[in-house]
Amino acid sequence: MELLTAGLPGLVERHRARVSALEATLTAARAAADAWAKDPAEGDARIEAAMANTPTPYATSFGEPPTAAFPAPPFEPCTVVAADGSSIEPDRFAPVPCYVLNTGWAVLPYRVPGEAALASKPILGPREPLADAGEDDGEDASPGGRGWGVSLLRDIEERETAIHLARERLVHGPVVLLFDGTFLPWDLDSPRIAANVRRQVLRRLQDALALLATGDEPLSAGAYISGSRAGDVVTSLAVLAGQDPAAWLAADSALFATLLGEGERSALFRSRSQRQKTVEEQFPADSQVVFFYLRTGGDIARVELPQWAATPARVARLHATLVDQCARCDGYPRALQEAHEQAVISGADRQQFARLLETEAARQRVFPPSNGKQSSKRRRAV
Amino acid sequence: MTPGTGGDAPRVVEAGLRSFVCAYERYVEDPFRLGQLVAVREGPWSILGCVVDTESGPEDPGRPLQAPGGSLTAAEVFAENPHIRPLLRTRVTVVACGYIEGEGAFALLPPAPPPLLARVESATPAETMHATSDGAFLALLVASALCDDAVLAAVLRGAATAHGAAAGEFTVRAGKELARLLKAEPARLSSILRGVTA
Amino acid sequence: MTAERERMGSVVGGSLTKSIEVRLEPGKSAGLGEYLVSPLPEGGDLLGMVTDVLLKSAEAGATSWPPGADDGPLAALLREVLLDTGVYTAVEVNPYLEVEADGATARARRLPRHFARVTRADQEILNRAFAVDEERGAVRVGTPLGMDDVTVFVDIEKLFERSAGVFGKSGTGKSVATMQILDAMVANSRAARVNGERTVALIFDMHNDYGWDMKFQGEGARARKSLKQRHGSDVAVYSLDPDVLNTDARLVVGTQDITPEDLDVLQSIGAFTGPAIEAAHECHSRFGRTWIDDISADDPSPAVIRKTFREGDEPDDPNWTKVAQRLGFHSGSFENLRRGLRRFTRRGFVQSGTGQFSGALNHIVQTLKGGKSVVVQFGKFGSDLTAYMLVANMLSRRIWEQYSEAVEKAQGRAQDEPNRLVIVIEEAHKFIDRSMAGQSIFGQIARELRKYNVTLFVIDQRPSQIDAEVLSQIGTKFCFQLDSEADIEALVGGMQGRSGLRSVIASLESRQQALVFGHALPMPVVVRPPDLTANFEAGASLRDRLGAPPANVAAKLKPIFG
Repeated sequence: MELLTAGLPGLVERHRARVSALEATLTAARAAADAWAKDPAEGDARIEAAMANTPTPYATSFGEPPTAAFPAPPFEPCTVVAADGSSIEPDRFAPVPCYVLNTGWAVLPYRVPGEAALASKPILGPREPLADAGEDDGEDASPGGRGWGVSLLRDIEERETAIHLARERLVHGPVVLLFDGTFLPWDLDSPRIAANVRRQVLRRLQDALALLATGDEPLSAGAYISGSRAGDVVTSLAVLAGQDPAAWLAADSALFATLLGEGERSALFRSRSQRQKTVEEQFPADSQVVFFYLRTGGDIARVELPQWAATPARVARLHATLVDQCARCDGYPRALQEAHEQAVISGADRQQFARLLETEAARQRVFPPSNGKQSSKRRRAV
Repeated sequence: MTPGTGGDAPRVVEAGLRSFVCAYERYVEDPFRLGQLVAVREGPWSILGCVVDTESGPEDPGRPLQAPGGSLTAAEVFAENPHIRPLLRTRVTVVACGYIEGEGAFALLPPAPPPLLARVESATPAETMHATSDGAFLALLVASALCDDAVLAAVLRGAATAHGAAAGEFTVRAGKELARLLKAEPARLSSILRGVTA
Repeated sequence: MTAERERMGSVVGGSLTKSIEVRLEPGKSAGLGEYLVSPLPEGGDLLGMVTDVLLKSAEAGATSWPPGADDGPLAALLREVLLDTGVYTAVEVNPYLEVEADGATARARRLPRHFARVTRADQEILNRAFAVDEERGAVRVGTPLGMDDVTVFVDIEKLFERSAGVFGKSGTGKSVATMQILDAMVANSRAARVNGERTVALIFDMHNDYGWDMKFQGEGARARKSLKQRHGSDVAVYSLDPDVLNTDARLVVGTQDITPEDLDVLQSIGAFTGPAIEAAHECHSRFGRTWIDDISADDPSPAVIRKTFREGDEPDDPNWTKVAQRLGFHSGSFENLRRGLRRFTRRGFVQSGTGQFSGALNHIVQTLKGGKSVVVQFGKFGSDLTAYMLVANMLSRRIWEQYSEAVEKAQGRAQDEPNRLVIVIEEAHKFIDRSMAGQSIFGQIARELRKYNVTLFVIDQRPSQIDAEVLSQIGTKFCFQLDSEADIEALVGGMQGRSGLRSVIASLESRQQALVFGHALPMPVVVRPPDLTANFEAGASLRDRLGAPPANVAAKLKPIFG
């Protein structure tokens, strides 16, 4: 105990120093933000100039003062549609390489007609050789499963499913469409995924987003990132404050925790980076991603949406609905939670799938590659 | 509307010779009634059974239904929380009490259980009369641990309704069969018939 | 044919020597005395009579916790539901007769199997069971209980080849039944080719029922034609009462016709004491035929004194007390004798001297031998039991003696034997009670039976008072309602299934219902005797009854009484 007691003064001293450093940084950040708010165009120009040659993501303003905080408008009746996915990744020790995608969804009508629906749809892949195999200019989608881009496929399944469900529900009134994670899948440019896979997925995503953006129906869409660690805004503020972003605040949430009251959202920002640009170039201009932060139940969430969906009415509906959804589900949108519940592949299900696969392979006399380590993991006898 | 006929029919999800369980696609407020005779008409014979239990609740036992506070009615809670209803299921337990093959009605266990996922529908009045005409169907019900006095009383009440003007005659005939089956349990007989005449 | 019979239930247990238990089907009921039929394992049917009705429960529960007696729907439903399930009705059936498919019958020696079907007997099987030889006369005894379309007949010859009896308390229909039986007998006798084949009756008609007409308490006329009116030339009526009309002759008893033996029987009704009867015997032997006139006088006559005292021994002042002392009687007993005899001699049918009794007696015997029945009517003396017993005893003894003498003389030659005589007595227990049976001529007739072609037909309301040995000799019994357990027991004692018969007798209605059983019937039967209509026909042939049956039926029936 004496040894422990001896260490305590140093511990407390270090913490006190960190807190006072953070306070100082936040004060500086708020000052920079205020300045940005006074002349957003000038600020944006400085930020773009400073970040032009770095891979670090940053943000520029999007028609609203960067320090603004907007209370949630009243929640209006609508249908909330959400999708989420989970997967069983290819196992290189399995007798047959394959994967499973399970897309869960929730369609929850609030004071609008239509039946609530909670369901999921599993997909077993690959079903057949990819259509344009042979034109590969990247890594092949080999039978071993590498390069299949399962998580990318899962993302695209989620989006296609949710977008179709959302459009169906427009007949009953306004619809709010929610995804979990970023609005655009980052893996679209991943060199680890076979190019033909990426091309196919891109085409499907282009079609789906085009479908989502059709017309001017009362449709709001947003991708919800709970507890976001993104630092686009503080990176931009560091630039404005003349600081090194790497030594500046770690995440936007730390700043917005001081700016946003419960249920309030931040101003809209335009998300920028080299990589973002590469991905966004694949899509129409109005699909560029904008975002805001939202404070609900102690969480600072980042909400991404396509530029076309960032109209005041759509954002207001999205904002009100998210606040209402989070209030219904301990600070996380109810529809996303239920879609997730539908999508989850439990451990028992995974084991059962593995057994079924082995059984079928054995029936067709296909045996897994021998692997001592794997075998010993399965054989627990002493 | 006849109870249990609204919307989609439940389907067999657990099948046994003596009893089977059918589930609605979701929670329904008007499932088959206690004691109602139902029929599974898929397969080589129509299996007739008697509803002995109905339960509704979360499909996933790991996600118990939490009761909200406040003064909302159940319908209002459901409207405010549309995700709840799809998570609930209504399941009905049915005890087999006979089967119909061709023109013949047999108060016996069916030769095989009903097919899984087969639709379970209300027995028609004609089927009910056919199957309950001589009271022999009660033997399988009395022998089932799932059938308590309340179920038997409800069965007799429901079947009597199917017999229309001959309801009284049917009740006495079935009661006599019951008296034979329960000859050593007069208190039980009395309790069932009390349920019939209530 | 069996299929047409009404299904009643099934055999669930029993014993050949006691009874079979039959569980009745729902809604069925059977009363005491009804006949049921059940097939026997090796063929043929068993015919039996319901002797008890039982309310039983399948398990104790239903009766330990019975439904409420209220009119509530539950209690009403429970009661209805438990009937014939938890509780049921069973009957006990005494097995009596096996009836084979070919019509032959035999005493029951087998039982049906468990659960054998039981049906209600129909006319066809009862006709076979009670069939009588169509060539012989039959008396209609009535309709079995609950079977209005069936009539049971009894063969007259068989009925009277042993003694018979009609028993029942007052007002139950004994006289009507007796009259019908006698009527059938007379009618049957008339049809005989020769006198010797005729059965005749000597009827001591206490209440004037069997002569010209009979008092009748039923509907319509208050009198019904009786034997004399219906069979004028086949019946002779003698009357002790000079005021009775429609008689053939008057019967007067002379004091000299009465012997002390004739008085024996009067002990039972207290007319004379035992010592008085002993004194009568002494007087008769000492004073000769005039003994009654002698000792009825106020004072002993010189002849009496002479016969009583040795010469020179005569008392100076002879009186009856001294006579009694001299003869060794207690004076009180002697006075009892004298008082009793004087009561006789005051009666109108007793005259001093010889009267015409011997002549009348001879006439009666000749009448009987000539094939005519004789009714002795008592008229106003009917209520005088002493008179009835004295005359019945006097006549019966003398006629019995003549019959037995004739039979002895015939030495087995049938054509020389007298025709069969049936002596009909009422209040029979007075003649043949337990103490008197040994002395009574009727006890002797009952015991010796057919030996002398004389049998008894007794009518009585207290069978338990009749000597058991005599009662056991009564072959066929017509039993109407009896109140006393002892009377019922006396009749059925020693019979197979007597407990059942006992309960059947106990259940008889107070009028017009009788259990008939014994020698002349193959099995007991509870009947409603035929009504005594103005033109009743008690006897009929089998052919009449069946409406010209095929000839082979009669042929099959003959072995029954063979």
